[in-house]
Amino acid sequence: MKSLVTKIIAVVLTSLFIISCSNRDDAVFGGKHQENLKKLDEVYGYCDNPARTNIPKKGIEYKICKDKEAAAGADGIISDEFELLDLNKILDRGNGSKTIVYNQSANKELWNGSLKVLENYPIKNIDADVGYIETDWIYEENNTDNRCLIKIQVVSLELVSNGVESNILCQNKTSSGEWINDNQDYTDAEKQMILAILTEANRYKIQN
Amino acid sequence: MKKLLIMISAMTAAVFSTAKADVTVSGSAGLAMVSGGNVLDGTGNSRSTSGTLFEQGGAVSFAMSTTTAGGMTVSTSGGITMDSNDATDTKAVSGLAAISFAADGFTLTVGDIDLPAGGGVGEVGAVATAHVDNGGYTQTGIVTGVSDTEGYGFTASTTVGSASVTFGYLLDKAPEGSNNAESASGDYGSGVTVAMPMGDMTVTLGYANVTGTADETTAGASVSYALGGGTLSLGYESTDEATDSSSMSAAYSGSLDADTTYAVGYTDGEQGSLASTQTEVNITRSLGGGVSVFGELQSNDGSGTSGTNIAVGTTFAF
Repeated sequence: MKSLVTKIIAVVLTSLFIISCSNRDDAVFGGKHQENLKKLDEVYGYCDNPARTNIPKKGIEYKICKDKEAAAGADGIISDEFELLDLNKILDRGNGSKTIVYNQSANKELWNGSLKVLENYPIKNIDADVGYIETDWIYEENNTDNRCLIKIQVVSLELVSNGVESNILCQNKTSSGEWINDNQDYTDAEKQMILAILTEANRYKIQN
Repeated sequence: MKKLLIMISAMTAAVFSTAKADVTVSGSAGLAMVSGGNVLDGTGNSRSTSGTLFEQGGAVSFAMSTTTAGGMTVSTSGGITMDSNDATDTKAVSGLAAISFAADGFTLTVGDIDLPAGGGVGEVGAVATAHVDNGGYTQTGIVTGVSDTEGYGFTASTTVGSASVTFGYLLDKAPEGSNNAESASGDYGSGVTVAMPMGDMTVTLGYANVTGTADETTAGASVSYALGGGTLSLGYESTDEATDSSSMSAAYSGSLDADTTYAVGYTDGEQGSLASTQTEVNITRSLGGGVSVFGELQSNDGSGTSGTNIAVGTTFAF
């Protein structure tokens, strides 16, 4: 009994250590967790991914998950409209046209939420296919010696809290006119931005 | 640049003052026709005739989640179901017995859990649904994994370097209730899976052990490889139990177009003097609007009742 309690305490402490070390992309523990989950989804399917421990491998949730997977088809997107079977399309017969597979990698609500949050800033790069938005340099009206830009990456097809990542990069102007990174930690601001995007995304979801 | 940050803070002030909790309802339904030998009836027993079995069911799930200011998502779910791919007609209420905590780098689930690797990570040949299992033709030589794969405990999943590691521990592999267990049950279990993406290849290793009246250990490995537009998987599983068992399996899956997927699986297993092979084929076509149709086949040979079961059906996701 004493041995078991010791084991449980050891596991809990180890878990806390792992969790505390898992908030950086380059961390040994948890650094590429979300990225790895997506890779494993491609191998096992979302519902059968052994690393997704929050998805039961049997029971109601698993059954619904598998039915949704089947309904989504190979591209992972459930079409809005119901279509009867088109055997010619399945067998690629008829006009000889090739099937185009469109892979959307960004959740629609998270994408729209990101655009809404950044609507007051000039956009330099935007790629809806991969869910990436990057603003141009943003200057304050009375302080042109500092500038920042914001990068948003939607990384999930589903509306989940960890489906969007943000990065804020700021620079200071030196006396010689060069721009150098200010190396400040904007983690809190990045988290607030993600929460703002999630709020907007949830609003879009409710509207639709 | 403070203005930018202040503006973001102001924009998110409302976020902190409003609940970020979310409750979603989803469901599915399905119906299928199964034929083969003497099909299984509603009590799970074999009928004395070999007619076509019609079966249907559905499920409703309530998923609840909330996100903390720090970005951690806490979730649980529950629901009601009548299984469409099982010939029994038991209506069940389940779920609500596990809670998950998920953040960027880890997922922790506490409660009623599936033991990682308990079902055998080296078994990759079962690609069809449980519909074809009701067709009447069976095999008895393919047994993989430990006998008790579910119980009360916890699972933790994270990444170590490039590998995804999932560890699980069962406080009780057969608790009296799915929502509680005591630490001195004597029926413990532990399991771990390690999945390592290596370019186009993914290697998964698994090990699980359960103790109690029957001490069982299973170990397996599978390799998945992107090949010819699809995914080829190979697996091997070995289980030490009252009568030891092992299996080798292979599967190939892919898509014909954006809406159609297919999978072919083969398993060769033995347990003691029993030996069987099983081939399964599944093809699923999405029709849009949450509707899909499927056709599948299961061919059994060796120990058991050899023959081929066939199932066709449709599922609806709401």
